[in-house]
Amino acid sequence: MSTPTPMLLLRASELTGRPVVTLGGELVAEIKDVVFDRTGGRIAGFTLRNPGLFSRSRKDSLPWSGVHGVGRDAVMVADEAVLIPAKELAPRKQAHKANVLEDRVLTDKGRDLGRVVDVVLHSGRSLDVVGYEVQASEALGTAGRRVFIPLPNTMAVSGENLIVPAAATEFVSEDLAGFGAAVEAFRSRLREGTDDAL
Amino acid sequence: MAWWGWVILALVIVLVLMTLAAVLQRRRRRGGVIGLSDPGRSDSK
Repeated sequence: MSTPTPMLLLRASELTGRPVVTLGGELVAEIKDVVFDRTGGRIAGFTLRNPGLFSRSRKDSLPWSGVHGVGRDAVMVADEAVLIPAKELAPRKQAHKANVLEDRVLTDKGRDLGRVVDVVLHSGRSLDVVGYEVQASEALGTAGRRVFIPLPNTMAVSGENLIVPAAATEFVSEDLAGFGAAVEAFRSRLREGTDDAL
Repeated sequence: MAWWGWVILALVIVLVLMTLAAVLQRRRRRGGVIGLSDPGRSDSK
């Protein structure tokens, strides 16, 4: 039997400000926002800004299909030709409303778990959203502390509240190191529930 | 007001403006995590 590979997790905020560099070594831009598909949780791409302290947002963006690799210190792309107009990835008006940071997380039973302070990503063949880091509410018994809440494979979210299955509260983790196992256990529980229902 | 009074006032105004600019810039640079139901070109790798 093979040992399962531990999940490689990172916070979305760790990507913000990371330089985008071509394989030729040219610095193209910096990552501004992370854009993901709310239905499947998959990263769709990144909005960009110019490097520098008083830099402006750029009118182009980086789709995930154009990413050569996400490294510890830079996001690599083949060349600038992979960039697309920002409005094609995330129209500005839509993007402004769809920022999940500070959104409230509710269970499908109506319990308020807290507000999102960061989003946890799983880095593999693709980059996927696997959980939220929230400023916990009293419902979790760790009010005011930051905890990690796992997400199912498929999410059905819209509006200003992010809905998670009530079972997610049993898999809340207080550190990122142990969160990968919590995500796997949570998703396995959901699969078992689906199998039982069939 | 003596000339040095104007100098101090100007320095204070500059300091306030610089602090405001730094705060605004920090907020703007924080970035976000945008969840869209149908992001433009979300083709997988």
